[in-house]
Amino acid sequence: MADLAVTNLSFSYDRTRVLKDIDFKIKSGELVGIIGPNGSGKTTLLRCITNTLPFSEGTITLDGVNIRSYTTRDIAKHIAVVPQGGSIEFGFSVKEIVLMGRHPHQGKFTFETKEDFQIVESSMKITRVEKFKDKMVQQLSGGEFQRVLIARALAQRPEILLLDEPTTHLDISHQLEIMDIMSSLNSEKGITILGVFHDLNLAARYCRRLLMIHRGRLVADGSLEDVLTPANLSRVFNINSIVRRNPITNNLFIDPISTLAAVRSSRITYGLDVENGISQAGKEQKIKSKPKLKKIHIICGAGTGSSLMKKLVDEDLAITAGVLNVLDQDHQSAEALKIPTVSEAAFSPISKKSHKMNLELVDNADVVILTDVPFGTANRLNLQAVEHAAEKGKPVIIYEPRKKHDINKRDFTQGWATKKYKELYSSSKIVHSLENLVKILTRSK
Amino acid sequence: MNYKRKWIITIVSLIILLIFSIAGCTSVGPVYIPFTDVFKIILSRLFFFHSYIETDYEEAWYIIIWDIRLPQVILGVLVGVALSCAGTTMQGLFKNPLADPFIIGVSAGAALGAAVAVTIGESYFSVDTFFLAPLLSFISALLSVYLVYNIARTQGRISVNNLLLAGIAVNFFLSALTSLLIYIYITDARSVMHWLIGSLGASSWNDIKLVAPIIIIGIAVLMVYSKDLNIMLLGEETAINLGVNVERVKKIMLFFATLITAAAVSVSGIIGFVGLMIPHIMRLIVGPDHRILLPASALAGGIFLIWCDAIARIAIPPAQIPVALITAIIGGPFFIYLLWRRKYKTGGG
Repeated sequence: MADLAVTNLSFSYDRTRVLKDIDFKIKSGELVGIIGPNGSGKTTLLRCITNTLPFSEGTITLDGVNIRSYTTRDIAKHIAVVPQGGSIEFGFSVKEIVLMGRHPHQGKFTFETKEDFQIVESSMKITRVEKFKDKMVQQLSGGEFQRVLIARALAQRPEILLLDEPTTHLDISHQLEIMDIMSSLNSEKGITILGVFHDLNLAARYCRRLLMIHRGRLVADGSLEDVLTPANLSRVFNINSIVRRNPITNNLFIDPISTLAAVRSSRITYGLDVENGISQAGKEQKIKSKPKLKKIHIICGAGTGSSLMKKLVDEDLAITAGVLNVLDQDHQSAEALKIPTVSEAAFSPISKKSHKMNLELVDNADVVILTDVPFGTANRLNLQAVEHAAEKGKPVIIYEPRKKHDINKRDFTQGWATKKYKELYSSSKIVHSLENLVKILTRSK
Repeated sequence: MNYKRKWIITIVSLIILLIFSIAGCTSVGPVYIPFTDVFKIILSRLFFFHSYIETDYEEAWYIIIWDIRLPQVILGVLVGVALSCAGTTMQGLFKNPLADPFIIGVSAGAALGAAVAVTIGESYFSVDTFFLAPLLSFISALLSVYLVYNIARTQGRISVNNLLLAGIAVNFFLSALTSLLIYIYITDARSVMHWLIGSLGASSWNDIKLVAPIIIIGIAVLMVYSKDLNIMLLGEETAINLGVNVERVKKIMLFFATLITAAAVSVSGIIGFVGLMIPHIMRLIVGPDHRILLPASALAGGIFLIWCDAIARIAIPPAQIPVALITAIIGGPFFIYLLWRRKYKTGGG
């Protein structure tokens, strides 16, 4: 049994509230991750659980008994902590360090018992440090030292392991190694694990439940799918991201696109916000942004526009896009970058309605960019939209960064698109690099 | 198991070395008395042996050994043991290689107490300061540490950094007060100098009876907490997570380290470098484990101090130089040598 319950926990450092009304329960055998940005209170929460910090309000119970009624020694018999590792400067051997994990179980005047040594040996075996048990700890690598710290925690024979960013100082293979050990301790030995993670993808790979902390509050608690949503990530971490599943491991992973600050500024520079000055932030930004903005409409698809959109958003340009099919890579990108986009249902040909909306955006734009997207029957209306722009005298830029990828290689309309392109090539500017494109767009701004 | 054997070998060999050092140092002085006769005289006083010992030595030697040298050597052992045990504790608690028994204000407090005693003795009551000075220096050493401790305490916790800084500040302040007293009131500064530059010259069996219980009890308590001190080397938070009641251990160890230091200072005055140097040397030899390091340092401190005192006795006969000068003359260069050896690390620092 190792049920941990945190009820209405609040904590302040010198009048600054660090934790506010934290409430959760952890059942025996769970593997739970705590995530949140720097300074959100994750480590403070761990310290409250170990009774290292005297918290002001709320209660923490272990198996229904208030943690405050335990002595320091008794807590250490139930809960062990694996710290961050970091600098190693003491002249103790690996075995001596692991043996210190037996401290809560030993008397003041007694020597180590046979049982102590057996537990130490088996703990070292689990984390595979017995090979260098007589080495001095300062001679170890970061990954080896971290395993020694885990062995020490195991020597405490705890029911609950608390991890405080245990892989912070390690490279990726050692991170996985450490977390694999943790994961097997959880599944095979039934040790309850509650860990603070900096790396969201690592947390997503190993935890079955996540607690998300933001400014000292528990803002989300639940399964990975419920917690790791783009909306939560943008609210808590200020990032704009795509959450996907790794097709091989089936783990969720977070693919950050940009920080939210960049997205916000691009949204403000986009037409409406600036002109109407809706939000206070918008008003402040308005002075900074250039008075006359070029509105750019991008016709793309199949991933040909993604990096372009990202770059233009970074450059604070006002962008629209269309028509893009849902599930198309460019559609996901546009959504993540919060670019106003005309969408079409997945794998469907562009409908008349969408085309009409697309033409509206084309009309509204000052420049239209056409990427080297393949054309087939489903998206031929997009090429007509470009044609429409050219007819109306709008500047059209054909952006073709890839060599040997001209239209006849990506024309799946039996020559129709190639024919259209010929006309377009003569009437519009052709740009081959992203730098040049940005230069052209920003010069004339 | 491994550890048990190491403990026994280290401690037993140091105890044997100490016994021979006591006899050796007792035989050294302006009057040379053979080693064997020293043993005979000492053993003749012990109730179990006296009937077996032939008293074929000179009567005067008995007085020199038993009434003059032996109390000086025994007191030297006690003072050395206390200072280096306290020094080891402070270095471990502060995780600072420069920490010594005096780091949190003991020395300045003791000196001020002695200066006050001398001032009172000289200017008001013209009483003998012989008894008053040790008593006042002991009390004011404890009071000054209590002051430092309370300055350093915030929200019921003591941070070692605060303690270090408060110690430095109080040291300066009290030293200034001592100097002021000497400057204004005291005509014969040598009576205070005895506390500022410690010596074992005027030792008596009475001094031993006074401080021995305090020092022995203090060291015993410190040894009980040596395992906790080991774990605290890994950092306070880690120590708490391993079940050590850090705040309580800190309080107890600070108190007893201060107590034995104050006891030592009250009979010998301030003797530097023993409590700084011996812990470093012993850490190089026996490693950072305080369960061995504490008793080993204590014994080595006793041995070191009595040999220094033997040198102090014979360097310019018949005068006795204060032993604190000898420890400083040996200790200074030694410490520079330690700084050169960069690879050497103290426990955790």
